[in-house]
Amino acid sequence: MKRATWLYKVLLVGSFLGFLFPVLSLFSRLSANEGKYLGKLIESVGYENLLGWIIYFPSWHYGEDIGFPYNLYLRWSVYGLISLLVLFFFRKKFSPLVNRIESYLVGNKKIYIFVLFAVFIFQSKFFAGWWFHGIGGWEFSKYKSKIIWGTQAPAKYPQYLNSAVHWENFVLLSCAQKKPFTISGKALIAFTETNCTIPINLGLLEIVFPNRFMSDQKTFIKLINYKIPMIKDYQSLYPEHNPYARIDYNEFNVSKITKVEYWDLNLSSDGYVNIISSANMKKVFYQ
Amino acid sequence: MNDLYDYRKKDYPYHFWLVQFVVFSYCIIRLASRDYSIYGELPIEYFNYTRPFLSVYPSFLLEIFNTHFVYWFVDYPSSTTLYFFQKIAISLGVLGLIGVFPKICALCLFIMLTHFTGFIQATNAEIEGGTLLLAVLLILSFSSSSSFYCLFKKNETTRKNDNRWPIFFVFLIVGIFYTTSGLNKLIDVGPWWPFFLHLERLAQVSLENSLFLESRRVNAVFCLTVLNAGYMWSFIAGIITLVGELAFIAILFYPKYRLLLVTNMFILHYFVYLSAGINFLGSTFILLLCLDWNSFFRGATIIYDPNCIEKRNFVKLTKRFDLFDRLTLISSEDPKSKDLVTQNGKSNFVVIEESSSERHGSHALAIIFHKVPLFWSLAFLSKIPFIEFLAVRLCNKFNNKFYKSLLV
Repeated sequence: MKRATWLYKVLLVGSFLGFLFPVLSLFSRLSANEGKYLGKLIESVGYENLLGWIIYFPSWHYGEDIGFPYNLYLRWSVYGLISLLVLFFFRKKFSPLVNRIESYLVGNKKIYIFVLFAVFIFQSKFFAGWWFHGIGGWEFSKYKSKIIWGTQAPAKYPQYLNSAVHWENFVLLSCAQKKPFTISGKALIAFTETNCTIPINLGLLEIVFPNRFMSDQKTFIKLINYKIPMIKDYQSLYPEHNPYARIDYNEFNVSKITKVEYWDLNLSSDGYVNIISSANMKKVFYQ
Repeated sequence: MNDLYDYRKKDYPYHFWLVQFVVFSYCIIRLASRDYSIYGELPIEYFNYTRPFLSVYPSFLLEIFNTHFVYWFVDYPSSTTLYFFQKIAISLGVLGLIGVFPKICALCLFIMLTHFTGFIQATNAEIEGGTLLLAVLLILSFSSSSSFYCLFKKNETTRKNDNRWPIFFVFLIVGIFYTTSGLNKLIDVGPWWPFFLHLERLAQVSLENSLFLESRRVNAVFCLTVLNAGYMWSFIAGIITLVGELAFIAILFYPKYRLLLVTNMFILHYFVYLSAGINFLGSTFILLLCLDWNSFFRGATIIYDPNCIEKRNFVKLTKRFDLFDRLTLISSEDPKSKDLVTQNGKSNFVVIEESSSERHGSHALAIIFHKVPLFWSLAFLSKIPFIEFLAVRLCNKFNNKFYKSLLV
């Protein structure tokens, strides 16, 4: 290590941390929330005596919504280990390239330090707030169509639910199917003090991945009512980067929502007629 | 590596000014079209860094980087505080745009936007599509004050090293960002990623979800098109994405492919927007900064053989249409030419661009195309590798003299 360049050292340390921390993080998750995941793991694989000690592992995770991304983390850890071994055993092969890059970049300290930083971040998988190790890789092989073949008989439902369906897209999907079908989805309907209704979606909140707030009735309504008076700004200034469906709020002019209904809908189409075939209220959020 | 965008050379400030203009404008657009004040309404227990990307390491380390360590000492801000904080950030963007203390504005905006992103990270997400913007803001804050333009003074337009290295830095940062994203696909899924991508399944599910206004917004017509194109389209799109991302770092040393790589990434972002409703199209502003805009402003010296009729006619034609006087012609018989060209005997048609080394053949022609407005369409076409290859072959076949004189 005496003559190793800084770039090589950073690669080495980053790889070591990248190997170690994803595994430690899994332990942390297992011991979090009084061993919620650990209990599930022991339930599915057994070995209580062997795994039980993990409950004492110091956890840095807390609260609801902690995931257990073992597959992803194990891949990161394996990548870290392979990097470490390659750097260690093939150092001589790497050195000329690393030295060349370093000797070029070292002329500008700002660029040089950033490169060391970016290399460290990538190898260690450390998330640095304004910089991280790049967009993750994911695929859609597990995505499955929700279409059920065959139609359902029409049922009675409140007429305001019609406004929560994108009928043009329904027609497009119907055209693309060869057989009658039924599909399920959700609707969120907000009620004003005067009992007027409007379909809404979570885009209104302007929070990235806001689903978790729906499990907390008080917070959910509070957030909606915070945004409702600003709905005109939302409509005019926040049109395109919202990943949720665009809803026209131009005619909507209220300052308070008293209730939000969360519905399970089924839509049926025989290729000619598109209907809401069933509607079940899943949850009601009161102020 | 001969074409490496060398940060040690001198260059004009125009590209840097474009970075300044684009980055501050983009900041203003982003801040004016978002509302971070709602984070002031959230109960404190939601600030717990739940996402897997964020929480490999203890969250206090991330809080140091996203500046949320301040909440170890003070309470989370109210929505009113955040509202005014955002207005101040917009004002800083305006100041930076007009060139009033742009360096300080860039640093303050970097800190403020990182702080806003910290709320997103603390609650339930990792990014909001602003990573490149933040990185470029940081570069601006490191840059020399003399490189920035100011609307209220006469700006210096001489070639300086201080104008060049920040551009190299931008190329490097954007290159690393996309290349590491490509590497992540190999690590997170594997080299078989394109086979498992299954965009047709995403399109089907997105189309089904688009029936409900409660759900994500997607372009139903685009999803239908993808569905009809089937698995093979998904596979090809996957290959193009993977290669395009892995190769993106080449913008530093393969200038010819910059346009191709930038366009490829723009198309990727646009397709993601249409199929999943994720709008990272703002990154296009930063991607456009990865083209070498100074190439329209740099002068070039053409050293040609006056005894060759083809070369003589060509340089006369280019000089006639050289409206901005970017080209200097030197005969190879002129003793001055000996000082400029390394005598490798390779060619007697050489183009030397400012901040660059000598170029021969099609590379030399590509440089000339950038300088003469009449040839700008050819400059564009020369950036498309297949077209350049075809043009050289056609020239060889139909105009052998021109080919031998200028392209070999």
